[in-house]
Amino acid sequence: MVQDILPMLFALFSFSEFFGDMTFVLKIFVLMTIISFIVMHLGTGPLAIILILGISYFVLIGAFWFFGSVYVLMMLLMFGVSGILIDFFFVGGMGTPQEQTPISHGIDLRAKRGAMMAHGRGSPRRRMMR
Amino acid sequence: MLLFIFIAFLILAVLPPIVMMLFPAADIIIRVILVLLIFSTVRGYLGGGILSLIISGVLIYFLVIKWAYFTASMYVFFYFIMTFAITSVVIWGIGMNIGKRG
Repeated sequence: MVQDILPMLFALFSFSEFFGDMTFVLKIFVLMTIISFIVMHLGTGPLAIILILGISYFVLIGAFWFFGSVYVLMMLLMFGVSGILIDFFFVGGMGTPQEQTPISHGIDLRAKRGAMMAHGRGSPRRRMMR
Repeated sequence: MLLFIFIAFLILAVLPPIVMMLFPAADIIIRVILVLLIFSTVRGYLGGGILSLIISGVLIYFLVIKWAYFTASMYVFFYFIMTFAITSVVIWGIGMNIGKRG
């Protein structure tokens, strides 16, 4: 029994350790973003240091559950994930065949011609002329 | 189609750790590349200084020494996807497939 549970516990511990480490790494990146932003705007004076300390405390300790997610989302958007989503949902993948190019290849052209001819054969004007 | 794309992505993600395990030279080279990448990223954020060195050291410990396989996998994965615009090809392929079925 114990021998069966031990590997599972090890895997869980390893996963929690990995998750904790990655959260710490994410916090470091958020901290670097805060420092970079404030130093870029205010330089390295005492006001900048106070602001860095205050904002870092609020973001990293107070509400990291929110700002961590926002930071990841911001990074994904900066890497161009929005373009991928727009491509997928509006330009390429999810469109119906009617919304794509009118004639994309020879088979389409032949099918359209066949449909037009069949429609023409059955039209009232043709029937009257016969 | 989607299954093949998923398998291709999986292979792309799993390949770097396998290469690192099989070839020690590749392991060292990939780690050096990751160190340089981390250091240049941190220096871009904070400029040159002692704080950059400390933060680079912490990040290098976690990302290059402790979880090297994961970091290498993610680096190669995103590098390929971003550099060669593989997502555009995937979306084009999915669009063709749905168009044929629809």
